[in-house]
Amino acid sequence: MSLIELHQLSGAWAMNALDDNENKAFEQHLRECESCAAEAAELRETAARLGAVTEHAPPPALRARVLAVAAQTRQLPPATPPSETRASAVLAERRWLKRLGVLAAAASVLAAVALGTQAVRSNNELSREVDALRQVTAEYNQLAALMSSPGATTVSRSVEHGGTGMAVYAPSQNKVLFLAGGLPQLPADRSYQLWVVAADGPQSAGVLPTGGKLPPMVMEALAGTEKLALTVEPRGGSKGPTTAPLVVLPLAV
Amino acid sequence: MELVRPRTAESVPEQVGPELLEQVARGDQAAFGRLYDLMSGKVFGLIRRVLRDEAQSEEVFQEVMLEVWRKASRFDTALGSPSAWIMTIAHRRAVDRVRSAQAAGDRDVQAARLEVDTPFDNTSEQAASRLEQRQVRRCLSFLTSLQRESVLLAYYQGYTCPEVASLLRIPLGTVKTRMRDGLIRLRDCMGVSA
Ligand SMILES: [Zn+2]
Repeated sequence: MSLIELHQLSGAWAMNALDDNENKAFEQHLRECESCAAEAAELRETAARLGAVTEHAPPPALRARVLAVAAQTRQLPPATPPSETRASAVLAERRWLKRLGVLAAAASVLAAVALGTQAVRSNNELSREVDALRQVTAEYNQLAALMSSPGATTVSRSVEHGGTGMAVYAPSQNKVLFLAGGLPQLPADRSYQLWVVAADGPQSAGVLPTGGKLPPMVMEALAGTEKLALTVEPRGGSKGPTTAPLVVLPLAV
Repeated sequence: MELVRPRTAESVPEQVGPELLEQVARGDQAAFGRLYDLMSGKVFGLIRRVLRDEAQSEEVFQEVMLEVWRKASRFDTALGSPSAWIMTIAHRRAVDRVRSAQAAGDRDVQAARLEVDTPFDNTSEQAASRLEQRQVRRCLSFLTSLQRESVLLAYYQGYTCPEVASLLRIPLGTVKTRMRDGLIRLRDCMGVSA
């Protein structure tokens, strides 16, 4: 199968419509092709939404049966044997790289400048990041393009209890970039969670990772996006904000 | 802060959070009961939609829920949402069952699969996810008819690419690209970020 053909398989893969050979070939390809890996993960998430609309309650008697059998069934240990979850692990790794690592390498330099946090970074760290930048020129260009795109606006506010939050809104690309620096460490059972707030309410943009430097987050600006807000939530995040925001970053419309 | 009000229970049905799955992974049976209550309707509904057979759906449903229990520790938030992980397991098991029944020449399953219909016409389906239904329906309407048919046949009927190609009388390569651009269009419309 040609490379061009392989790049086309993400949709069929996400809907389990490939035969076994194609499935193997595509999962192998996911290990090598970052853009397919990111796309495949998103399309699987999209397909799952299709599955959530045919809701139909199972016969009530099944509940007790399933729970009883579960109570007797040994669970798999957390360590993942590579054979079973290799494709998944690769997906996770790719996405982590794409969404956090690569952009972190690129943008933490910008963030350091923008937020004045480089006092805490050694020259070594910076030069390693610059090296990383060279390796990921494409991603860096994408980020730079975001920040310099027509109509892009930047807003920076101090965060209650400490730190700074900054948003870059690039309307021509329909993207928002969020950066934070100097946020106080939270107790182990709490997480910072970012929200994209539109007229119909907040949508989670994800939980900020704990420890070390905070990677920037890039998200789609949904129709009607008005602001970003950062709250403290129980560890792992909430489905809706449960505390008052520590900082609200209005995005110029 | 007025603009950051929590969404009401009415507008967004409660979701399985990563922390609930973590509790399940630690063997917490009460947490598994809560997960069951949140997901069983969606899981069973999807399996039933794909299989069109009550008895087989009940069997596959129990297998799926047990797989979720057994493999909860293998869930990784970096892979997407817990509910997408669960629905992927459900869809995979349902299409595997359809295909093995088909390979074994099970005529009932084959006959049922020929009844192509839309995913939303069944009045017995619960209204709990009405908002999600409306969004999916609206977003499906933005697809071209080939994209829409390809996606619906593959996802809700469990058809393979060659089956969709022969049913729609279009080349196999076209089916694959229509599935891809169809899902991409849905992703953008629904604002999905994995
Ligand atoms: Zn590719």
